[in-house]
Amino acid sequence: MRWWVFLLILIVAAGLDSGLASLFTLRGLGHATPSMAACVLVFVALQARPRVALWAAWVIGVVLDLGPTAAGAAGGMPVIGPHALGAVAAAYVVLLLRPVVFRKRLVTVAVLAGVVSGCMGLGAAAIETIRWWMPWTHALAPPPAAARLTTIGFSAIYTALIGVPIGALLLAGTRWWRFDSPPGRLDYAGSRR
Amino acid sequence: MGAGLVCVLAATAAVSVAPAGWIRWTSDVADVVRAPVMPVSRLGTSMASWLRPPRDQSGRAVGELEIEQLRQDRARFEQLWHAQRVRADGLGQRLRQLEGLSDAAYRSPHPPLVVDAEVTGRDASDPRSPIELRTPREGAERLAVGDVVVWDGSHLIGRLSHVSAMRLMALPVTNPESGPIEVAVATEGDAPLVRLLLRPSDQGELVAEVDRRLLIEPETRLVLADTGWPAWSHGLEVAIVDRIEAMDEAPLRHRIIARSAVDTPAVSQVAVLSALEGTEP
Repeated sequence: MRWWVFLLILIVAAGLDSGLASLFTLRGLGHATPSMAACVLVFVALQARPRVALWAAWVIGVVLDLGPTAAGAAGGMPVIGPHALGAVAAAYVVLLLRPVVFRKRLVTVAVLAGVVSGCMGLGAAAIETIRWWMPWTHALAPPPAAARLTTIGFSAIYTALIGVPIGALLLAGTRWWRFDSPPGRLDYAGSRR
Repeated sequence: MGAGLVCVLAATAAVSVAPAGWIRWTSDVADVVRAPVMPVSRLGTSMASWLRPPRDQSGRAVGELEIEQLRQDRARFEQLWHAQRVRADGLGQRLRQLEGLSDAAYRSPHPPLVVDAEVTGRDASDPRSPIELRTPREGAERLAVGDVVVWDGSHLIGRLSHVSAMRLMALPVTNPESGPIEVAVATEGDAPLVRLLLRPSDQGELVAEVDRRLLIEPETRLVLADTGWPAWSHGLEVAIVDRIEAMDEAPLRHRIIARSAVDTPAVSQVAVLSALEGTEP
Protein backbone atom coordinates (compact mmCIF):
# COMPACT_ATOMS: atom_id res chain seq x y z
CA MET A 1 0.00 0.00 0.00
CA ARG A 2 1.16 3.52 -0.71
CA TRP A 3 1.24 5.12 2.69
CA TRP A 4 1.36 8.66 1.37
CA VAL A 5 -1.89 8.10 -0.50
CA PHE A 6 -3.39 6.66 2.65
CA LEU A 7 -2.26 9.61 4.76
CA LEU A 8 -3.53 12.10 2.21
CA ILE A 9 -6.94 10.47 2.06
CA LEU A 10 -6.99 10.16 5.84
CA ILE A 11 -6.27 13.86 6.30
CA VAL A 12 -9.08 14.75 3.92
CA ALA A 13 -11.46 12.32 5.59
CA ALA A 14 -10.62 13.48 9.12
CA GLY A 15 -10.86 17.12 8.07
CA LEU A 16 -14.22 16.64 6.41
CA ASP A 17 -15.48 14.58 9.34
CA SER A 18 -14.75 17.58 11.51
CA GLY A 19 -15.71 20.34 9.11
CA LEU A 20 -18.90 18.85 7.73
CA ALA A 21 -20.12 17.52 11.06
CA SER A 22 -22.46 20.46 11.56
CA LEU A 23 -23.94 19.82 8.11
CA PHE A 24 -24.46 16.09 8.41
CA THR A 25 -25.23 15.73 12.11
CA LEU A 26 -28.80 14.63 12.75
CA ARG A 27 -29.65 16.43 15.95
CA GLY A 28 -33.01 14.71 16.27
CA LEU A 29 -31.40 11.25 16.18
CA GLY A 30 -29.01 11.49 19.08
CA HIS A 31 -26.64 13.70 17.11
CA ALA A 32 -25.82 10.84 14.80
CA THR A 33 -22.84 11.74 12.64
CA PRO A 34 -21.36 9.77 9.75
CA SER A 35 -17.68 8.94 9.67
CA MET A 36 -15.70 9.15 6.46
CA ALA A 37 -12.66 7.91 8.33
CA ALA A 38 -14.58 4.69 9.00
CA CYS A 39 -15.14 4.32 5.26
CA VAL A 40 -11.42 4.74 4.64
CA LEU A 41 -10.68 2.18 7.34
CA VAL A 42 -13.04 -0.35 5.77
CA PHE A 43 -11.60 0.21 2.35
CA VAL A 44 -8.02 -0.30 3.56
CA ALA A 45 -8.94 -3.27 5.75
CA LEU A 46 -10.65 -4.93 2.79
CA GLN A 47 -7.81 -4.37 0.34
CA ALA A 48 -4.50 -4.24 2.20
CA ARG A 49 -2.52 -7.01 3.81
CA PRO A 50 -3.76 -7.81 7.34
CA ARG A 51 -0.75 -6.40 9.15
CA VAL A 52 -0.80 -3.22 7.05
CA ALA A 53 -4.54 -2.92 7.61
CA LEU A 54 -4.13 -3.11 11.39
CA TRP A 55 -1.36 -0.53 11.41
CA ALA A 56 -3.42 1.74 9.18
CA ALA A 57 -6.38 1.32 11.53
CA TRP A 58 -4.22 2.33 14.46
CA VAL A 59 -3.03 5.42 12.59
CA ILE A 60 -6.62 6.33 11.75
CA GLY A 61 -7.61 5.93 15.38
CA VAL A 62 -4.72 8.05 16.62
CA VAL A 63 -5.60 10.80 14.13
CA LEU A 64 -9.21 10.69 15.32
CA ASP A 65 -8.07 10.78 18.95
CA LEU A 66 -5.82 13.75 18.35
CA GLY A 67 -7.85 15.44 15.65
CA PRO A 68 -10.29 18.32 15.97
CA THR A 69 -13.20 16.02 16.69
CA ALA A 70 -11.55 14.49 19.75
CA ALA A 71 -13.60 14.94 22.90
CA GLY A 72 -10.54 15.20 25.11
CA ALA A 73 -9.95 14.40 28.72
CA ALA A 74 -10.07 16.61 31.75
CA GLY A 75 -8.60 19.98 30.96
CA GLY A 76 -9.20 19.55 27.24
CA MET A 77 -6.19 17.30 26.73
CA PRO A 78 -6.65 14.76 23.97
CA VAL A 79 -6.42 11.12 25.00
CA ILE A 80 -4.79 8.62 22.70
CA GLY A 81 -6.60 5.33 22.90
CA PRO A 82 -10.37 5.37 22.62
CA HIS A 83 -10.47 5.57 18.84
CA ALA A 84 -7.05 4.01 18.29
CA LEU A 85 -8.01 0.81 20.07
CA GLY A 86 -11.55 0.91 18.70
CA ALA A 87 -10.27 1.28 15.16
CA VAL A 88 -7.88 -1.66 15.50
CA ALA A 89 -10.72 -3.76 16.89
CA ALA A 90 -12.93 -2.69 14.01
CA ALA A 91 -10.22 -3.51 11.48
CA TYR A 92 -9.84 -6.93 13.07
CA VAL A 93 -13.55 -7.51 12.63
CA VAL A 94 -13.28 -6.57 8.95
CA LEU A 95 -10.31 -8.89 8.55
CA LEU A 96 -12.40 -11.71 10.02
CA LEU A 97 -15.24 -10.96 7.64
CA ARG A 98 -13.04 -10.38 4.63
CA PRO A 99 -12.92 -13.99 3.41
CA VAL A 100 -16.68 -14.19 3.15
CA VAL A 101 -17.53 -10.91 1.46
CA PHE A 102 -17.08 -9.41 -1.97
CA ARG A 103 -14.17 -7.10 -1.30
CA LYS A 104 -14.60 -4.80 -4.26
CA ARG A 105 -18.33 -4.45 -4.14
CA LEU A 106 -19.70 -1.09 -3.20
CA VAL A 107 -22.34 -2.62 -0.96
CA THR A 108 -19.61 -4.44 0.97
CA VAL A 109 -17.76 -1.22 1.67
CA ALA A 110 -20.97 0.54 2.66
CA VAL A 111 -22.28 -2.15 4.98
CA LEU A 112 -18.93 -2.79 6.60
CA ALA A 113 -18.47 0.96 7.04
CA GLY A 114 -21.53 0.85 9.25
CA VAL A 115 -20.13 -2.12 11.14
CA VAL A 116 -16.78 -0.40 11.56
CA SER A 117 -18.44 2.80 12.71
CA GLY A 118 -20.35 0.83 15.32
CA CYS A 119 -17.24 -1.05 16.47
CA MET A 120 -15.24 2.16 16.70
CA GLY A 121 -18.01 3.86 18.62
CA LEU A 122 -18.38 0.97 21.05
CA GLY A 123 -14.62 0.72 21.50
CA ALA A 124 -14.29 4.43 22.17
CA ALA A 125 -17.24 4.34 24.58
CA ALA A 126 -15.73 1.37 26.42
CA ILE A 127 -12.35 3.03 26.82
CA GLU A 128 -13.94 6.30 27.92
CA THR A 129 -16.03 4.45 30.50
CA ILE A 130 -13.03 2.53 31.82
CA ARG A 131 -11.14 5.78 31.96
CA TRP A 132 -13.94 7.34 33.94
CA TRP A 133 -13.82 4.47 36.44
CA MET A 134 -10.15 5.09 37.10
CA PRO A 135 -10.01 7.55 40.00
CA TRP A 136 -6.72 9.11 38.90
CA THR A 137 -7.76 10.14 35.40
CA HIS A 138 -10.17 12.96 36.34
CA ALA A 139 -12.09 12.01 33.20
CA LEU A 140 -15.41 13.59 32.43
CA ALA A 141 -18.46 11.45 33.09
CA PRO A 142 -19.59 9.72 29.89
CA PRO A 143 -23.13 10.32 28.64
CA PRO A 144 -25.86 7.87 29.69
CA ALA A 145 -25.44 4.45 28.11
CA ALA A 146 -28.79 4.52 26.29
CA ALA A 147 -28.06 7.87 24.71
CA ARG A 148 -24.57 6.77 23.75
CA LEU A 149 -25.78 3.52 22.20
CA THR A 150 -28.48 5.40 20.31
CA THR A 151 -25.88 7.74 18.89
CA ILE A 152 -23.56 4.86 17.97
CA GLY A 153 -26.38 2.94 16.32
CA PHE A 154 -27.70 5.79 14.24
CA SER A 155 -24.18 6.90 13.38
CA ALA A 156 -23.42 3.38 12.12
CA ILE A 157 -26.50 3.41 9.89
CA TYR A 158 -25.68 6.90 8.70
CA THR A 159 -22.09 5.89 7.96
CA ALA A 160 -23.34 2.92 5.95
CA LEU A 161 -25.49 5.28 3.87
CA ILE A 162 -22.72 7.75 3.28
CA GLY A 163 -20.40 4.83 2.64
CA VAL A 164 -22.06 4.38 -0.74
CA PRO A 165 -20.70 7.52 -2.39
CA ILE A 166 -17.48 7.49 -0.39
CA GLY A 167 -16.94 3.83 -1.15
CA ALA A 168 -17.57 4.46 -4.84
CA LEU A 169 -14.90 7.16 -4.87
CA LEU A 170 -12.42 4.97 -3.01
CA LEU A 171 -13.03 1.95 -5.21
CA ALA A 172 -12.66 4.09 -8.30
CA GLY A 173 -9.21 5.14 -7.13
CA THR A 174 -8.01 1.72 -6.04
CA ARG A 175 -5.14 1.67 -8.51
CA TRP A 176 -3.59 4.73 -6.84
CA TRP A 177 -3.20 2.82 -3.60
CA ARG A 178 -1.06 0.01 -5.04
CA PHE A 179 -2.44 -2.64 -2.69
CA ASP A 180 -0.20 -5.68 -2.84
CA SER A 181 -2.45 -8.18 -1.13
CA PRO A 182 -2.80 -11.44 -3.02
CA PRO A 183 -6.16 -11.71 -4.74
CA GLY A 184 -8.60 -13.93 -2.86
CA ARG A 185 -11.35 -16.01 -4.36
CA LEU A 186 -13.85 -13.26 -3.82
CA ASP A 187 -11.81 -10.85 -5.89
CA TYR A 188 -12.82 -12.85 -8.92
CA ALA A 189 -16.39 -12.18 -8.07
CA GLY A 190 -15.60 -8.51 -7.95
CA SER A 191 -13.85 -8.62 -11.27
CA ARG A 192 -16.74 -10.44 -12.93
CA ARG A 193 -18.94 -7.38 -12.64
CA MET B 1 -0.58 -9.58 14.46
CA GLY B 2 3.08 -8.66 14.83
CA ALA B 3 4.91 -8.16 18.08
CA GLY B 4 5.48 -4.51 17.23
CA LEU B 5 1.80 -3.87 16.82
CA VAL B 6 1.02 -5.69 20.05
CA CYS B 7 3.51 -3.52 21.91
CA VAL B 8 2.05 -0.37 20.36
CA LEU B 9 -1.47 -1.43 21.28
CA ALA B 10 -0.38 -2.19 24.84
CA ALA B 11 1.23 1.22 25.08
CA THR B 12 -1.89 2.80 23.62
CA ALA B 13 -4.06 1.03 26.17
CA ALA B 14 -1.77 2.19 28.98
CA VAL B 15 -1.85 5.77 27.74
CA SER B 16 -5.62 5.70 27.42
CA VAL B 17 -6.05 5.12 31.16
CA ALA B 18 -3.06 7.15 32.32
CA PRO B 19 -3.55 10.00 34.77
CA ALA B 20 -4.30 13.34 33.18
CA GLY B 21 -1.02 14.75 34.45
CA TRP B 22 0.97 12.14 32.54
CA ILE B 23 -0.53 12.84 29.14
CA ARG B 24 0.01 16.57 28.85
CA TRP B 25 2.36 15.85 25.95
CA THR B 26 -0.60 14.75 23.86
CA SER B 27 -1.61 18.40 23.43
CA ASP B 28 1.60 19.09 21.55
CA VAL B 29 1.24 15.96 19.44
CA ALA B 30 -2.35 16.94 18.71
CA ASP B 31 -1.18 20.31 17.44
CA VAL B 32 1.12 18.55 14.98
CA VAL B 33 -1.61 16.15 13.86
CA ARG B 34 -4.18 18.92 13.50
CA ALA B 35 -1.90 21.12 11.40
CA PRO B 36 -2.65 19.31 8.12
CA VAL B 37 -6.22 18.43 9.11
CA MET B 38 -7.39 21.89 10.08
CA PRO B 39 -7.32 23.50 6.59
CA VAL B 40 -9.57 20.77 5.26
CA SER B 41 -11.73 21.06 8.34
CA ARG B 42 -12.03 24.81 7.90
CA LEU B 43 -13.01 24.34 4.29
CA GLY B 44 -15.65 21.85 5.36
CA THR B 45 -16.91 24.16 8.07
CA SER B 46 -17.34 27.02 5.61
CA MET B 47 -19.19 24.75 3.24
CA ALA B 48 -21.38 23.37 6.00
CA SER B 49 -22.12 26.83 7.32
CA TRP B 50 -23.14 27.94 3.84
CA LEU B 51 -25.30 24.90 3.17
CA ARG B 52 -26.78 24.65 6.66
CA PRO B 53 -26.45 27.95 8.45
CA PRO B 54 -26.53 27.73 12.21
CA ARG B 55 -29.67 28.91 13.94
CA ASP B 56 -30.04 31.12 16.94
CA GLN B 57 -32.24 30.28 19.92
CA SER B 58 -35.36 31.41 18.14
CA GLY B 59 -34.63 29.07 15.24
CA ARG B 60 -33.66 31.85 12.88
CA ALA B 61 -30.82 31.01 10.51
CA VAL B 62 -27.67 32.98 11.23
CA GLY B 63 -25.68 33.78 8.13
CA GLU B 64 -21.93 33.72 7.75
CA LEU B 65 -21.80 37.51 7.51
CA GLU B 66 -23.70 37.83 10.74
CA ILE B 67 -21.38 35.35 12.43
CA GLU B 68 -18.39 37.29 11.17
CA GLN B 69 -19.96 40.49 12.51
CA LEU B 70 -20.50 38.81 15.86
CA ARG B 71 -16.90 37.65 15.88
CA GLN B 72 -15.71 41.18 15.21
CA ASP B 73 -18.01 42.54 17.89
CA ARG B 74 -16.74 39.96 20.33
CA ALA B 75 -13.13 40.92 19.59
CA ARG B 76 -13.92 44.62 19.92
CA PHE B 77 -15.78 44.26 23.19
CA GLU B 78 -13.09 41.98 24.54
CA GLN B 79 -10.55 44.71 23.81
CA LEU B 80 -12.81 47.30 25.45
CA TRP B 81 -13.24 45.05 28.43
CA HIS B 82 -9.48 44.71 28.85
CA ALA B 83 -9.10 48.46 28.44
CA GLN B 84 -11.66 49.06 31.17
CA ARG B 85 -9.92 46.58 33.43
CA VAL B 86 -6.66 48.45 32.96
CA ARG B 87 -8.42 51.75 33.61
CA ALA B 88 -10.16 50.36 36.70
CA ASP B 89 -6.82 49.13 37.97
CA GLY B 90 -5.30 52.57 37.41
CA LEU B 91 -8.17 54.25 39.20
CA GLY B 92 -7.81 51.78 42.03
CA GLN B 93 -4.13 52.66 42.37
CA ARG B 94 -4.98 56.34 42.34
CA LEU B 95 -7.63 55.78 44.99
CA ARG B 96 -5.12 53.99 47.16
CA GLN B 97 -2.74 56.92 46.76
CA LEU B 98 -5.50 59.32 47.73
CA GLU B 99 -6.47 57.22 50.70
CA GLY B 100 -2.87 57.35 51.85
CA LEU B 101 -2.65 61.12 51.63
CA SER B 102 -2.63 63.12 54.80
CA ASP B 103 -5.76 64.92 55.89
CA ALA B 104 -3.96 68.18 55.30
CA ALA B 105 -4.05 67.47 51.59
CA TYR B 106 -7.84 67.31 51.67
CA ARG B 107 -8.32 70.23 54.00
CA SER B 108 -6.32 72.49 51.72
CA PRO B 109 -8.46 74.84 49.61
CA HIS B 110 -6.45 73.68 46.61
CA PRO B 111 -5.95 69.95 46.92
CA PRO B 112 -3.26 68.52 44.69
CA LEU B 113 -3.75 66.68 41.47
CA VAL B 114 -2.55 63.09 41.78
CA VAL B 115 -0.72 61.66 38.77
CA ASP B 116 0.76 58.17 38.76
CA ALA B 117 4.18 57.69 37.22
CA GLU B 118 6.36 54.66 36.64
CA VAL B 119 9.98 54.65 37.69
CA THR B 120 12.09 53.96 34.61
CA GLY B 121 15.59 54.63 35.87
CA ARG B 122 17.68 55.11 39.01
CA ASP B 123 20.99 54.10 40.44
CA ALA B 124 20.05 51.35 42.85
CA SER B 125 23.41 51.57 44.59
CA ASP B 126 23.11 55.27 45.46
CA PRO B 127 20.10 56.50 47.46
CA ARG B 128 20.94 60.07 46.51
CA SER B 129 20.66 59.50 42.79
CA PRO B 130 17.88 61.24 40.88
CA ILE B 131 14.96 59.09 39.80
CA GLU B 132 13.80 59.02 36.23
CA LEU B 133 10.05 58.69 35.73
CA ARG B 134 8.02 58.02 32.64
CA THR B 135 5.86 60.96 31.70
CA PRO B 136 2.31 59.82 32.44
CA ARG B 137 -0.33 59.51 29.77
CA GLU B 138 -2.07 62.57 31.14
CA GLY B 139 0.86 64.51 29.71
CA ALA B 140 3.53 66.73 31.10
CA GLU B 141 1.50 69.92 30.82
CA ARG B 142 -0.21 69.18 34.11
CA LEU B 143 3.10 68.79 35.92
CA ALA B 144 5.76 71.30 36.85
CA VAL B 145 9.18 71.44 38.39
CA GLY B 146 8.79 71.38 42.14
CA ASP B 147 5.80 69.06 42.24
CA VAL B 148 5.90 66.63 45.12
CA VAL B 149 6.71 62.97 44.50
CA VAL B 150 5.37 60.49 47.03
CA TRP B 151 5.15 56.78 47.45
CA ASP B 152 2.23 54.96 48.99
CA GLY B 153 0.40 58.23 49.44
CA SER B 154 2.11 59.49 52.55
CA HIS B 155 5.83 58.85 52.13
CA LEU B 156 7.78 61.70 50.62
CA ILE B 157 10.39 60.88 48.00
CA GLY B 158 11.31 64.33 46.74
CA ARG B 159 10.36 66.92 44.15
CA LEU B 160 10.39 67.03 40.38
CA SER B 161 13.51 68.67 39.02
CA HIS B 162 12.86 68.23 35.33
CA VAL B 163 9.68 67.89 33.30
CA SER B 164 9.53 67.07 29.61
CA ALA B 165 7.21 65.26 27.26
CA MET B 166 9.40 62.18 27.42
CA ARG B 167 10.50 61.88 31.01
CA LEU B 168 10.43 63.38 34.46
CA MET B 169 13.29 63.62 36.89
CA ALA B 170 12.71 63.57 40.61
CA LEU B 171 15.29 64.65 43.11
CA PRO B 172 15.01 62.69 46.35
CA VAL B 173 15.27 64.57 49.61
CA THR B 174 18.53 62.73 50.28
CA ASN B 175 20.15 64.37 47.27
CA PRO B 176 22.43 67.25 48.34
CA GLU B 177 20.93 69.43 45.62
CA SER B 178 17.56 69.24 47.34
CA GLY B 179 18.82 71.47 50.09
CA PRO B 180 17.74 71.48 53.71
CA ILE B 181 14.23 70.57 54.60
CA GLU B 182 12.29 71.45 57.74
CA VAL B 183 10.60 68.55 59.45
CA ALA B 184 8.76 67.92 62.65
CA VAL B 185 9.00 65.03 65.02
CA ALA B 186 5.84 62.96 64.73
CA THR B 187 4.62 62.91 68.29
CA GLU B 188 1.48 61.45 69.72
CA GLY B 189 -1.07 63.37 71.70
CA ASP B 190 -0.67 67.05 72.56
CA ALA B 191 3.09 67.01 73.02
CA PRO B 192 4.75 70.20 71.80
CA LEU B 193 5.90 70.10 68.20
CA VAL B 194 9.63 69.74 67.74
CA ARG B 195 11.04 71.07 64.50
CA LEU B 196 14.34 70.05 62.91
CA LEU B 197 16.25 71.15 59.87
CA LEU B 198 17.39 68.07 57.96
CA ARG B 199 20.31 68.37 55.60
CA PRO B 200 21.35 65.73 53.10
CA SER B 201 24.73 64.21 53.82
CA ASP B 202 27.25 62.82 51.38
CA GLN B 203 26.34 59.30 52.45
CA GLY B 204 22.74 59.61 51.39
CA GLU B 205 21.48 60.23 54.88
CA LEU B 206 19.70 63.20 56.45
CA VAL B 207 21.39 64.93 59.33
CA ALA B 208 20.11 67.46 61.87
CA GLU B 209 21.52 69.03 64.98
CA VAL B 210 19.24 69.39 68.00
CA ASP B 211 19.39 70.46 71.60
CA ARG B 212 20.50 67.47 73.64
CA ARG B 213 17.62 68.08 76.07
CA LEU B 214 15.13 67.11 73.41
CA LEU B 215 14.14 63.51 73.82
CA ILE B 216 14.35 61.94 70.38
CA GLU B 217 14.83 58.21 70.01
CA PRO B 218 15.79 56.00 67.08
CA GLU B 219 12.91 54.94 64.82
CA THR B 220 11.13 58.23 65.47
CA ARG B 221 9.28 59.39 62.40
CA LEU B 222 9.95 62.82 60.96
CA VAL B 223 7.25 64.52 58.92
CA LEU B 224 7.36 67.43 56.52
CA ALA B 225 6.81 70.82 58.12
CA ASP B 226 8.55 73.09 55.67
CA THR B 227 6.74 76.29 54.80
CA GLY B 228 8.53 76.31 51.46
CA TRP B 229 6.51 73.31 50.43
CA PRO B 230 2.80 73.36 49.58
CA ALA B 231 0.54 73.34 52.60
CA TRP B 232 -1.17 70.13 51.54
CA SER B 233 2.16 68.31 51.57
CA HIS B 234 2.80 69.02 55.24
CA GLY B 235 2.65 65.91 57.32
CA LEU B 236 4.11 63.63 54.67
CA GLU B 237 6.59 61.23 56.20
CA VAL B 238 10.12 62.30 55.26
CA ALA B 239 12.54 60.24 57.29
CA ILE B 240 13.04 57.92 60.22
CA VAL B 241 15.65 58.56 62.88
CA ASP B 242 18.38 56.00 62.50
CA ARG B 243 20.77 56.93 65.31
CA ILE B 244 21.77 59.79 67.57
CA GLU B 245 25.40 60.82 68.00
CA ALA B 246 27.07 63.14 70.43
CA MET B 247 28.93 66.15 69.03
CA ASP B 248 32.38 66.75 70.47
CA GLU B 249 32.54 70.23 68.99
CA ALA B 250 29.15 71.19 70.52
CA PRO B 251 28.53 69.28 73.76
CA LEU B 252 25.08 70.81 74.25
CA ARG B 253 23.79 69.46 70.98
CA HIS B 254 23.21 66.06 69.46
CA ARG B 255 23.49 65.01 65.87
CA ILE B 256 20.49 63.12 64.57
CA ILE B 257 21.06 60.89 61.57
CA ALA B 258 17.94 59.82 59.74
CA ARG B 259 17.28 57.66 56.74
CA SER B 260 14.71 58.35 54.07
CA ALA B 261 11.23 57.04 54.84
CA VAL B 262 11.19 55.39 51.42
CA ASP B 263 13.55 52.72 50.17
CA THR B 264 13.85 54.68 46.96
CA PRO B 265 15.83 52.15 44.89
CA ALA B 266 13.10 49.56 45.45
CA VAL B 267 10.19 51.73 44.36
CA SER B 268 8.71 51.09 40.93
CA GLN B 269 5.60 53.27 40.99
CA VAL B 270 5.18 56.71 42.51
CA ALA B 271 2.56 59.44 42.56
CA VAL B 272 3.22 63.04 41.65
CA LEU B 273 1.17 65.54 43.61
CA SER B 274 0.83 68.51 41.35
CA ALA B 275 -0.14 71.96 42.52
CA LEU B 276 -0.87 73.22 39.02
CA GLU B 277 -4.62 72.78 39.36
CA GLY B 278 -4.71 75.48 41.98
CA THR B 279 -2.22 77.97 43.25
CA GLU B 280 -1.35 78.43 46.83
CA PRO B 281 -3.45 81.01 48.63
